[in-house]
Parts: sequence; C-alpha cells; structure tokens
Amino acid sequence: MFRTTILSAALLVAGAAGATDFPIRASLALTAHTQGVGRADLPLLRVNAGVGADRRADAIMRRFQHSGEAVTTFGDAKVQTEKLKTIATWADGRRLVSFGDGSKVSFRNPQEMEASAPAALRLSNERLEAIGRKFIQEQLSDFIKLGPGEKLEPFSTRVEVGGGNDVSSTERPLEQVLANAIVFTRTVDGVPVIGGGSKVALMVTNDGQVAGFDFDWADYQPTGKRVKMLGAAQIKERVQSMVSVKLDSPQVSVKRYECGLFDPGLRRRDQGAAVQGACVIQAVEKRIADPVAHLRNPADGHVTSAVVEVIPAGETVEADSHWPQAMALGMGGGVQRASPAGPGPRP
Amino acid sequence: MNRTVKIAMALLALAGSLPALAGRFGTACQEDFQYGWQNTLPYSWNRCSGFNSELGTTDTQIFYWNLHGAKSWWEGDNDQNGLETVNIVFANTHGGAWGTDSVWAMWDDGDNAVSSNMRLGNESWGTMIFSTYSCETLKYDDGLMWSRMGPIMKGGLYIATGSMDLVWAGWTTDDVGADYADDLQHGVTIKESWHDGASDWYEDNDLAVMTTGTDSTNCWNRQNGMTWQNIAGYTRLRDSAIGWYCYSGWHT
Repeated sequence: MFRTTILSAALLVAGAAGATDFPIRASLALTAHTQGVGRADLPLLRVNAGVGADRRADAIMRRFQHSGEAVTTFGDAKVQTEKLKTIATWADGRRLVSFGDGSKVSFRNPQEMEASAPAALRLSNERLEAIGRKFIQEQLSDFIKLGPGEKLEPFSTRVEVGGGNDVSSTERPLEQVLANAIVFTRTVDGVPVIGGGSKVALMVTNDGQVAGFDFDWADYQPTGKRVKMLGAAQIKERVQSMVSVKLDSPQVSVKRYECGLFDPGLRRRDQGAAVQGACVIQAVEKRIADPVAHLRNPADGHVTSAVVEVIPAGETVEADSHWPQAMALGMGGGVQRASPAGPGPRP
Repeated sequence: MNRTVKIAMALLALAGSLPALAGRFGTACQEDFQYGWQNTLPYSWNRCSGFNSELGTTDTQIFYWNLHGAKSWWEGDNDQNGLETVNIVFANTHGGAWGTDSVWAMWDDGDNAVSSNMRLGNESWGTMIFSTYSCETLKYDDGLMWSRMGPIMKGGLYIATGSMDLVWAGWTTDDVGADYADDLQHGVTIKESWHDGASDWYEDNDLAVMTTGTDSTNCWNRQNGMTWQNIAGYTRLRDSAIGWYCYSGWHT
C-alpha cells in the first residue's frame, strides 16, 4: 500500500506535457493519472492490409509528379523494389520510401531544407497546424483516410536546430532553426491513438513550405468486440509490476505517462493482433557514477538512462506476438523477450 | 569557383556514384551492468545485432564486443586495438554529460569511458564515424560541446552522432541500429540516416550530430554532404586544421 502511494505520487508529479504539445497530448498527461484511458471500455480494432509498397509508391509518384512545390516527384527517379520496401530516388537527393503494405511512407526533399532562420523565428504551433491541415487535406487525402468516429488531431511539434562556433571561441554558439515538424495523430471516438502508428508528420521550412512527410496510417476496422479497461489505480499497479525501472526511486522521474489506443505502427505490428488500450510510460533515471564530481557540482557525475514501456490497460489482454507485455498478460506468463545473442568481450 | 575546388567537387561526386568499397564496422554494446551499477539497457543486443545484420550485407564486420573491461580500448593508446580498427563504430550504452566531459558507461562497476581521454581517427584504420545511442553525450545547450567532444574530434574523426539529451530504450526502439544501417547503405547522408534511423514521431528521441570544418561553410558542407559511400573523399581534419565545429539537433 505504502509502495503504491509513493508510486502514485511519483507519477502525479511527473510526466507533464511539454510546451510544444497540442491540447490533446497535454490532456493525455492529466487524464492518464486520474482516469487511465478515460473510458470504461475500448473497442478492439482490426488493421486492414494496405495496397502494397509498390502500388502505394506509384500512387504517390503520380500524385506529386506535376507539383512545382517542394514536395514533388517530378523528373526521372531510380526505383528499387526490395523485400520490405520500394524506394525512389532522384539525382537532387529527393527520396520516397514506401514500406511493407504501403501504409507507411516517407518523402524528403533535402535541398529545400537547407535554409536557416534565427532560433526565435521557430514557427508557432498554430501556424504549423494550419499549414499541416491544408497540406493533408489538399495533397494527402487519398492516403490519410478517416473512418467513422475518427478524427485527425494535431499532437506535437518538433524542431531541427543548428549551431556552431570557432573552436577557439568560448562564446555560446548562436542557434538557427533549420526545419520544423508537426505531428498529427488519429482519435477514435475521441480516444487518441498513441505509439508510432496513426501518425502523420510534416517537415516544414521556415518560410512555411512542406518539404517532406512521413505517415504510418493503416485503415482500422471494428471487430465488434469491446474490452473493459482497468481503472487508473489498477493500471498504475500493473505498470509498477511490469516496468524495468523502480518508479518510486528518488533518482527516477517520469517524463511521459499516456494512455489510449496503442498502435505500434506498421513495422512492429503483429498483423494478426488487434489495436487495444494501453499506457505508455517514459521514465528517466540519473545514477551517480562519480560521487566526487557530483559533490563538486550536482550537475556532474551522473549517467542517464531513459526507458519506454508499453503496458496493456484492459482487464483482459489480447495476445500480440510482437509486444512482450501483451504476450505476458494475454498468455499468462512473464514478459518474454526475443533477444539475440549478446556479444562477447574483446579477446 | 577555382579549379582546385572544381576538381575536388568532381572527385567527391565521382566517389558518391561509384560502387562503394566495403567499409569496416564494429559494434560495442552493453545490456546489463556489473552488480547493477547502472540500469539494464533493454534491447541493446537487438539494436546492435540489427546494425550488424543490416550493414553486414554490404560491409565487413570487424568486431561485436560487449563493454566488459572496455575502457581500455575506448580510451588512450590502446584504442588502436579497439575503436580505431574500423571506419564506423555503433555503440549502445548509457551516457552522460559533465562539465567538460562526455561519458559512456562501461560494464565494470564505476567505469566510464571519458571523452577527455579519447582521441579517434589518428591510429590504425582511423575511426571516421562514431555513433552512440546514449543519452546526453552530444549535449550542446550549455555551450560546452567543444570542451567535451573536442578531444575526440581532434584526432580526425569526421562525424559523431548521438543525443543531446534523451534517447529511449524499450521494445519500440529495438530497431534503431538496423534502420540507421539501412539508410547508410542506401546513400542517405550520415546526418539524415541518424535522424531517420533513430527516431519516430511518438517517443521524441533527442538526436544530435556533430562535425568539424576549416570554417563554418566547410563544416556545414561536410555535415550536409557526407555519406557512408563518399566520406573517404573528404579531407580528414586534425588538431589545428580544425577551425570550426557545428551541430544539428532535433528536439521538441
């Protein structure tokens, strides 16, 4: 009981949303602590197979072949079809990759992403959302489709910065913004999809041009089944029993704790498994490695570890052969890890 | 543009278009630590064996070692029998950034490889690319990046890739090594290979890369142009030939 109380306190004081999170992600940080996934039950969703990597690559090349913007597939491309992906490359560095069943795609135009601007000119979340929604609606609507009850919601933003200095200088380098990124997620009946699946990310230059995109966006189909979710306190107990770090240690802080429907994305998904409710916890531990250095300066002498774990949140858990915690709970065993052989010491 | 620069650019372009000669690579990884002095690092073996499997289809694996007693072959004169025997090192362990040192945790209780004791690129095969999936070791927001990483870069290392803050370890990041190697093989720049291979759009890995140059322009040209295939066409810069360092970082 005492341990649970401590754990709850640790989770409650940590895991706050970041400044670049949109409201839906910020609310996840709050509701996970008090309401778990925020619903009494959640649907089990089946993932429909996509059209195939080569067909999807072909469709995207046709979609952007006449575009005069930064996202363009104009010109001759070298196309390679490999076992797990189709890749198109252009002589100027543009690159299109379509993975697996074609539900995961990446495009970059690096030449358009070389401009820089002062760090203070990082694009605002509002501007990025407007640019992103317009691009998705006008350019990607054939590929980012929404089913009944589904919505596209802005999730977070990221930035690429650059800096440097004369090696003889002791001045702090001036930083520039090199590119911005906005990430959208899907909600299903108001419940956000967490994990790498159901994400659209757009790379945006400082003058507001979209110069690249990634999406991992499969079609979902209800199975007709719903699973009762654990309450917030029960989920925390399950998290505590399954994570690999001691969450009640004073050296541990929780950076994120979020619950929703979990989709690991194309490349981690067990195609036979369903999307189900889960919570993701990201915890950081700083251990003192050099007590003397740490005594001199509390910012020194530590080594940092950062762990991410995904814990199913349902009263019952569907087996998922790629997800160790779901296998452990769904099959009634411990966490099973498929681990390759470790290395030996240098002879 | 003068004639020398034109010839150099033509040679670089040629290097990029030629079938690549097999490069030499090594992986240095640790998942558990002596007496638990550091947390277990989940899926470290997966990250490193994924890198080995992927890059091994085109290049030559020289070593895949754990970090038992590894401080001796990361630091000092004996690195010529360790890190310096390959063109690219991929490592996965815990890390930290102290006042003037970046540190990488070794298996041995209390042991860290410390950047001020390291110098890469000047012995044996001469490491070109030093990639570590470790927290904090490319920290730059305090303006002390060169103090920490300069000793390593001064040996002639071309590029370091890592993190300025946090990189996450778990089931959902077990393929970082394979993805990074895959992009390298496909001629993506080393900088973008690291960014693409070691990140996704949910977990927010804080990634960074660092290069050197004779001046700012040269530094950025190297950072934005170097690939696994063309890197040998760039001049190796050591000690006083280095006038500038530059970095890129991706964060929230």
